[in-house]
Amino acid sequence: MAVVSTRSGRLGNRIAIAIVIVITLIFLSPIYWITTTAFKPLVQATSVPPSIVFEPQITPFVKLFTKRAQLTAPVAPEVYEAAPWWERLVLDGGERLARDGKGNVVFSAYPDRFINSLIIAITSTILAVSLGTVTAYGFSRFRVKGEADLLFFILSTRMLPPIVVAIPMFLMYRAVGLNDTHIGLIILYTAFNVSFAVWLMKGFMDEIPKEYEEAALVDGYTRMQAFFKIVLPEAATGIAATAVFCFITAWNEYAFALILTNRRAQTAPPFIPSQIGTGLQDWTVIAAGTVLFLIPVAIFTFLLRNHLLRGMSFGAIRK
Amino acid sequence: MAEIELRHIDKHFGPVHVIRDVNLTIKDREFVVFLGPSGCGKTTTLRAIAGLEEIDSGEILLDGKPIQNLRAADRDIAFVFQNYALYPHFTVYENLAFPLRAVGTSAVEIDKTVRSVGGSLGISHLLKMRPSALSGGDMQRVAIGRALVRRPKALLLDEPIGSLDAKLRETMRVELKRLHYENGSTSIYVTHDQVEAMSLADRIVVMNEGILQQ
Repeated sequence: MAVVSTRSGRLGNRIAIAIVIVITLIFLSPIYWITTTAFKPLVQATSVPPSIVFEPQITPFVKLFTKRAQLTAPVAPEVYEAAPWWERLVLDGGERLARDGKGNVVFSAYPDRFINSLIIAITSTILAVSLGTVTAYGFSRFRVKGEADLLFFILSTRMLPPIVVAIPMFLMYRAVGLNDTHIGLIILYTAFNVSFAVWLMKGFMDEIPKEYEEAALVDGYTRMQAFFKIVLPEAATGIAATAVFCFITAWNEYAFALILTNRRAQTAPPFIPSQIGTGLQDWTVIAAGTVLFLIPVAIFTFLLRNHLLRGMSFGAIRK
Repeated sequence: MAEIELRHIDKHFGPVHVIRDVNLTIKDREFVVFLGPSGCGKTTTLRAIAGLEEIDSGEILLDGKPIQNLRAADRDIAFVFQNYALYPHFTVYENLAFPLRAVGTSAVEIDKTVRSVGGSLGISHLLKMRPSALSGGDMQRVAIGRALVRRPKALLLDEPIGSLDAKLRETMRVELKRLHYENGSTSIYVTHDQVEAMSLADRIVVMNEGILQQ
């Protein structure tokens, strides 16, 4: 690659880099805010002006994973002494941990909800991406009657804001018994993402020269084998990019999860705000829940980053 | 090796009549060149013989057996594409081995064949490389190697050296001719370059607007 080393070119580069850094900081600031809030003492979390300097603590995370009640009377010193360090953190905040009949600490529903989120987001992503890939391949390689209309129809399913269909969906799901089930949300998110996956994958598929498969066909392979051995590896970047987008959509979905689930299959997004609680609003717990919730998407995107970067420019720039 | 016979081949693309009643017999071990301007139906005819394009009517016979309804995979015909179509995620070795794996050849046999084909094409030193790292001429050699590796009944070449520079074309022409003598495969070669056609062909078939002219 040729490097332009004129003076104006270098200056232009520096300005561009400076602008990119500023924009990056602006975009990262909410993440900084939510992360620091998760480690702040309760009082400082909502102080105005926001406190920059504070003593980080992990009380919010202890609270996130337990059930608590307000202390009505000061704890006895011997009880306080006997308590493990993490329980003391809660006691210091004027709350006590809820315990079951045997004296064991009762855990909150957060881990369950988090696992629900993982199950539902991962399954629906796999389904949407596989269906999308196969459908896109069909549209890309075969002459399909009414192709443009069909593709438009597939896209049109994304045109309604989801909340518009939420109530009808609720009634239908109740009628067929899909309310508050994992499979219910999986079907919904898959249906929602598949249109997106088809369109994205179609772009990638169109970029793969059809001669690769034709070569495989004359080399003695069936179309199915050619698809798995040649097309899929070639489409890996597209598949990775599509998977990230589908995963983020399914992972972050709030409206349907709020309406269609309440206990068994509830995902983390509707659960986290439900912890605001009554009496006082403990934003630190919300922040702690949110921070943990951000991690899987970050990991997933990080793992696929090489594919993703190539994928974005590959699919988007041409055509 | 084999004799190819085309009987009354007809093909439309929508309203366009691309191949009109083509009749042709290509003898065993013959090197035939289809010559004609672009869009005259020569590539389509070639693709039809390979099984990549369906024909509307007519018969394609390979050694006297009709093959027009067989899948490309079952025709035992190899095809060299204009843009080579080497599998980019495979090494040269894997590219050459791919057709052999389709028919379940043993690993030892594959290794032997790949190395001998690599040797005869002068690409032995490239076996571990990926296609993207090769020069145009070497890509072409690999593409031809991939076609020859399973000893097909017929070899079809669609403007295989059209995208190389003039000097390299010259070299490749000589090489192709040599390979044809060594392997003795029935070959059909498509080009729009008369010089190329003259220097390679045992027989030249001129096509225009889907009709055989000569």
